[in-house]
Formats: sequence, structure tokens, C-alpha cells
Amino acid sequence: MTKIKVLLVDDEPSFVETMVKRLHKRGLEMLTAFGGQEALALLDSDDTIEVVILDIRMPGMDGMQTLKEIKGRHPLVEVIMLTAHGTVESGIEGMKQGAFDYLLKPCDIAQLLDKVTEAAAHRRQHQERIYKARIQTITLRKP
Amino acid sequence: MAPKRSSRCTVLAVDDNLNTLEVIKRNLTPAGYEVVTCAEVPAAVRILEEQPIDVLITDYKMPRHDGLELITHAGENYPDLGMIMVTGYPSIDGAVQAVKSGADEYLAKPFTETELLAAMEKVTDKLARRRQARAAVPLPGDFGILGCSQAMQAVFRLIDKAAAMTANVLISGESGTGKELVARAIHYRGARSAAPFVSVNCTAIPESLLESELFGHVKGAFTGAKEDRAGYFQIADGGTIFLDEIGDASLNLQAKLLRIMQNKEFFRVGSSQICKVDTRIIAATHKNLQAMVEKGLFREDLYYRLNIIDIPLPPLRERREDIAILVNHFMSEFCREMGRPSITLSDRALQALGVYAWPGNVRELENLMQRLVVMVDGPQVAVADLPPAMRFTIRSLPGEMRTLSQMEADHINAVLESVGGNKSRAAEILGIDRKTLREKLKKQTGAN
Repeated sequence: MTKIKVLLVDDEPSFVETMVKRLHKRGLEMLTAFGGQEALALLDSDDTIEVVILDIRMPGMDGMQTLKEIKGRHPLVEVIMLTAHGTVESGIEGMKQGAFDYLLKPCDIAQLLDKVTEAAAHRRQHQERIYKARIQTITLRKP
Repeated sequence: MAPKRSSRCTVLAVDDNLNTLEVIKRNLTPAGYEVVTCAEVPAAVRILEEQPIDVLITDYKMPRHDGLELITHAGENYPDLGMIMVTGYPSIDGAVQAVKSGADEYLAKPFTETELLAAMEKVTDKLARRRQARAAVPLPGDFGILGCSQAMQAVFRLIDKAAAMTANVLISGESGTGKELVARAIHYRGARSAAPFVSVNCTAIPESLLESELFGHVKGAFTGAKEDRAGYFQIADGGTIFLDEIGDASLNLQAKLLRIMQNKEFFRVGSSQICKVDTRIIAATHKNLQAMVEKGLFREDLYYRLNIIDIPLPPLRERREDIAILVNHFMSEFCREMGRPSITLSDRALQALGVYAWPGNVRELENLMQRLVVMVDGPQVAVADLPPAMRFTIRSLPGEMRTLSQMEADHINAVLESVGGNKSRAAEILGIDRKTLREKLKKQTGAN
């Protein structure tokens, strides 16, 4: 089984540093970005990233906007929203936009690890289904 | 007050609090919704089974089974259902779980009439979009089939001709040549396009069930026939039924198909009452039906009734000029689906595909492209990324000075490898009989 490659996106350097250390210790391959634009650039250049852990409140492009962009450009990447400022509305919005889950800070590391593993398994299953599936209809015009 | 809806939308409201049910009914009925209510999950499950429901509104906390279980059950069994979760105990976790389980909207109690109507509006809009997407049919002019070769141009002309008529059609071609796509193209380009297109694979349904599946049955016709059921011919009334692999239909079924073609009538299993239908038949086969007729395995009268318009589909090896177009099409489709940047094939890889025998035809090429999009990491597919049977064909690429017999031997081996050593299949592709192939292989062994 290959290591799960995770991108952690948060504008707080100390939080990023601690989380990367702890998740790396538990067997995850970690990449980091300090904002939405940087995260998107990384995802555009590396299609082996499977899961993104995404903060919501960030300067510039916020987490919700970043989520929309990620799901638009890389629909198979699973996104876990992680926020200290959770609300029912943003929880619903995040899930409707295609987030895999929505967690609140401070988050238990074991719970986060479980969610990341679930998300990666979901992505791999999805990929496998696409691999096996046969396109039923093709809608190309006659040349 | 909200304007009345033009089309009837049925709402099932589930809550153990009767006051809430009353509020929902009072708010939605004047707006044109038909509201059915119940106070517990098992009753809701029964109602969903028994009558068509468009939107489910359910409370979260209820005794015995909660609303989340109901939402999960309904989402799995009724993909066309809109769902709203209401709760007196709103929480982030509850909202996330509800949406994750399939709820389209989440409302906290007490809600106002405006909030409820707004949520209903959002759900019904989403539902309409979902249904529209599902019912989307190929646009006029779309054949769903791709090719610039002469052979495919002839097929396109036949599709046009068949679409303009109502006569039965027989499509013949090897596996993977796109017989069902042609049948769909004929249906959706013709006058029957608004009526159903029903596809039946005669080999996928056990012989014992085929008759009841095609013609339907009445309650009590056999053990397990608990209610009347319409068959595919009835479902396709006014439209088209596509009978794939008709060459595998038993003589008994052939007799019944002949009757329906001659008289446009049939009996449901267990019934003596005649049913009338107007269903166009498009049949397909990979077998040589004429040869089967000569051997007495296929009814001659049925063959002539089916074969009014004959559309033979060329195998991919006979339209190699289409391979590059198909490769580009499938590559871009799969890359988009996978959300990865597009990849291309190296010239030599494309050349290798150009000389490969393609026993599985377009479907084999499509599956290979899907596999390459998943497996190849870089921006370009090299010969080394191709399966061994295809890499082998690279030996026969131009540039090397070889004798005719060497080329023949290589080609024979490549074809044999591509069909997993099946000599009959290889001989068919090579256009020689099995005996000749055996002799050529023997000669090869002797030369080596």
C-alpha cells in the first residue's frame, strides 16, 4: 500500500508545523500550503495528492472558495474542511460543495487520521470504479 | 403567499410531532404541493414503496429510527427524491451528517413559512435539473459514434435512412463495434425519439425468464409472480426495443418474436388476453444469421422480417484510419473525467496501435485508453506502456528490411497473441481458414 499523500492548507505556520510533524509520524506523506492559491498551484502540478485538509478562514482566497476551485479542477481529490470557526451554515455549504467531511479545531489527531484514511480509500475506490467502468454513451458529433 | 405550482409535486412529511406535520401541511398545500404525512420511519418507508413521492421532509430525532436512517435508506433506493432534514436540535455535526447522507437542505425548527418554501424551491429546482440531465438524449446530429473512414460514412448514411423509416433493423458486427450506439442513434434521430428506447440483451436473461421479461406476466402466472408486471415490449410501446444478441434466442422465443412482428400482439405469461403494442424492433448480433438459417438454428421467416434494413458494422481493423481520432477522443474524455491534465501518445505508440489487430474493436481501444489514463504518470504514453500484445506489433513497423515470410510470420504471431492463442479467432481475423493457419504455423516451426 502506497503512503497517502496529503496537502495541509492553513495560514497559521505554527499549526501547520505541528500537524505536519504529527501526521508524518503516523505514516502520511505531507505537503503544505499557506493559502488557497498556493494549494491550487501545488494540486495543478502534482496529481498524486489524494487528500487536502483545508482551513476555512484564510486571508485572500478563503477555504470555501478554494474548495470550489479544487473540486472543479480536480474532482477526485478529497477535501476535509478543518476550522476553528464552524457554523451549521458553513458545514452545509462545505458538504454541498463536495467536501468529504467537516471537522472542528481542536481536532483529535486519531480522528483526523481516520478521516484522512477514509477519504483516501474513497478516492482510490472512485478511481478504481472509473478505471473499470465502461462509458455507456459517447456524445461526439459526426465529423 | 407563494404562487401555486403548475405541476403537482408530492411531499412526504415525517415527524413524531403532529404539530410540525400540521404546520408543514398548512404551509405547503396552498402553494400547490400535495402533502402526505406520517409519524414514524417504518410508515414512511412503506409510503415511499407504495406511491410516487417527489420530496421527503423528515425530522431528525424520532423514537426507534431517526431521520438520518430514513434519509440514507431513501437516498439509496430513490435517486430521484429530493430530501429536507428538519430538526429542533441543530448542530454542525448533525448538519454535516445529514448532507453527507443525502439531504439537500437542512432546516432548524421552528422555521417560518418563507424558510420552508425557499428550501422546497431549492430542492424542486435541483430535482428538475437532475431529472432533465437523466432524460437528456443525444442531440440531433449526434451519432455517438466516431469515424471519418469510408466504412463509417456508409454506416452514417444507413443510420439516416433507418431513422427516417419505421421498418425493423438488423445490425451485425463483432463485439465492441458499437451496435447499441447505432440502435440508439436510429431511435433518437427518428420520429419515435420521445418514446422509450429499451435495450435487452438476449444472453443476459436466463431462458426461463426471458419470456416473462419480454412480454410481462400476470399475478399468479408462476411461483413468485406476486403482481402483474409489464414486459419490455409494453414498456417500449410507441418506441423501440433493442434486442441484442438475437442470434442466441431459442427457437421457442424466435416463434414468439415472429408473432409479435406479424400481428403486433402477444400474450402476457399466464394470460389468455391479447395485448397490442406498437414497438419498433432493432436487433443485433455478432453471429452470421444467414449461416444459422442454413443450419436450421435461426428461423428464416424471422430473419427476413428482421433484416429489412441491414447495417453491417466494420471491425476496427478495417477502418484503421479512425484509430487516431478515437484515441484522441477517449484520451480527452478520460482525462477530463479523472481531472488530470491531458496526455498524448508518442508517434511510435500510435503506430503500434495502428497495426494491432483489435479483436475487441472500439471497446478494447476505449478500455485501453482508460487504463493508460490511470496508469501512465507522465504527459506522454510510450510503447513500453502498452500491453505486450501491442508492443509486439511494433516489430512490423516500416523501416526494417525484412522478407515477406518474416512479416507474415510476425503478423500471424501478433494476431494470435492478441486473441490469447485462439486459433479459430485468429484465422477469422487473418481471413484464412483454420487449416491454412495451422499449416503456416507448422511451416514457421520448421523454419525455426
